Amino acid sequence: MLSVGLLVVVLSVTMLSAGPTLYYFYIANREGNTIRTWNNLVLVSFGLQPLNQSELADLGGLPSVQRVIPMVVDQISISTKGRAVGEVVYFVSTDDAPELFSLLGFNQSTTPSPTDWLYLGHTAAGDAGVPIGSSTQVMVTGIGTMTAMGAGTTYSDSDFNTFGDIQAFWASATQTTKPGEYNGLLIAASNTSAANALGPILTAAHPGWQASTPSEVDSARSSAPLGQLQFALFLGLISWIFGLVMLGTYVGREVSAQSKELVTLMALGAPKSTLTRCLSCYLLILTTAGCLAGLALSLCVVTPAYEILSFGYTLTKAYSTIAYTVGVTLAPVLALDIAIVLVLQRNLNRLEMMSFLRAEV
Amino acid sequence: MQRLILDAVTKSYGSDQVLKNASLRIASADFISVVGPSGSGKTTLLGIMGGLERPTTGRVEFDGEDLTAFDDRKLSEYRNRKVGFIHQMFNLIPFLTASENVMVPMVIGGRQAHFVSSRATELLGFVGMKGKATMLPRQLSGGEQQRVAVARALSNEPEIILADEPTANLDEKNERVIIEYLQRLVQSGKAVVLATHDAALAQRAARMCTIEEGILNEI
Repeated sequence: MLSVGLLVVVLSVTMLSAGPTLYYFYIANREGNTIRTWNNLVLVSFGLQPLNQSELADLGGLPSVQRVIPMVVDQISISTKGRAVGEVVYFVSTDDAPELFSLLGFNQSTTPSPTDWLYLGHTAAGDAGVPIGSSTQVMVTGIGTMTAMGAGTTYSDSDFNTFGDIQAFWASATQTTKPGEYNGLLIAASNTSAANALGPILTAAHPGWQASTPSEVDSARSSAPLGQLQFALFLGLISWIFGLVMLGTYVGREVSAQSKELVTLMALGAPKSTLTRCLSCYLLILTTAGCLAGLALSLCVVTPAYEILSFGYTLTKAYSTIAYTVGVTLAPVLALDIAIVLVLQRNLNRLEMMSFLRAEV
Repeated sequence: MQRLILDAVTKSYGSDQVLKNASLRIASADFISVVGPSGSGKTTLLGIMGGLERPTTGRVEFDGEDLTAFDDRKLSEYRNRKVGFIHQMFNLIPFLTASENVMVPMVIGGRQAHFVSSRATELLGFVGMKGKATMLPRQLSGGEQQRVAVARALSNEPEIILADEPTANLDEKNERVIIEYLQRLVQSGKAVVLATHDAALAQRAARMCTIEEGILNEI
């Protein structure tokens, strides 16, 4: 039963790592401050269907649409290892950048340097505002450049590990989009409610399109994924509590059996001093086991829970990685160790007594 | 001859006094029952008689020696040599065979190896368990386990047998068997103290005491 509990914990944490898809679109400066929100923007992606130019023209005729910026857009489910669970990062082609900036209200007359201004989405470094690796090209770049980036990237290996799906994105983007074609739009609506209304209109009119409207982004970001995360954490905690209860029951049974044996031996004439020594040793092992279980619980559940639920990046990446590695990998091992130690201790006592008896007789 | 004397013994756990001014004299070949409901102090009384617990006040003498003055080693020796315990739940060591369980008190008491083995066989024969000497407790029925426990209690030829609800977990047939063994022990000169909540069973003893809320009275 304990193993089942631990398995559920591992699955829960894995589920946390995989995470639900969260549409998350924001603009930040390099210091990580969000400087523009998406209040009146609709992001439309076409998936495997490149944009049809006439459809693009049609959109301009919609009454609430102020501007339409075609972009190379795709979404990346980030392999998070504890941060930015399920975020979706949108990439925008370099060519679109001036218009995009203009649309967003940046006071830039020329194409901004991405390092100075803009990126979309989070970065592998984990701290908002710091571009992935030392490169910024991926943030505002053309598809051609992105393809090249796939081969000659300046990312470090660890960045790729963290953002493993970036490569999948590139593959997808290059298959569906050629230079000069677009697979996404950034649409500025006259106001937020118009932007919210545009999403369903567009997706209904153009099967296969996906629209992320401000309210969807907000709700997806704020409630559903968090709810799922909480549920997963709840599962994890329940599993751990269940596991600990099982462990406690087992320990309790062992202590009871051991106590009974000690009392019996005492009644049969074994000196109290010997029994006290046995009991102290046993209690020491139990205490150690309890501490290890607590540590495992803390590492496996509490740390990730704190990090995920805080939904910020308060802990360093290194600590996060260590916590997960130790927590997820080592916790079940520790718990099993505890059980094994208890069983061994009991069996050692048995063996000791049996060998003592049999040597005597 | 008086073997065990309890004189104005009290036992308290914190502010809870579980034994109040209990006095009792036990001679060889006495068969005394102590009857009372659960929690009345029977087990505590037996624990004090058997040297498992020390009284809070009062005096416990065995063959003229004050048990309360014994150190741990001497008290262990007393439990090992002079007293035989029979518990309600049998309390056999689960990973030792029936024969090994009977040997334990003798091994603790430092008896010679050849003696231990032959004595265990003899005692198992006495309780009709010779054929099951190599079986583990879990392979035995409740009645059989209690018979092994009786054999174990006798292994060091104690002067007093303290039986705490020895038949509470047994059926009628096995209850009869165990009581018969106890009676045979009495006939052989050993003192037996039987603690029970069963008044009918208590009447099988030659002397009967009641205990209620820690107060012991001989009827």
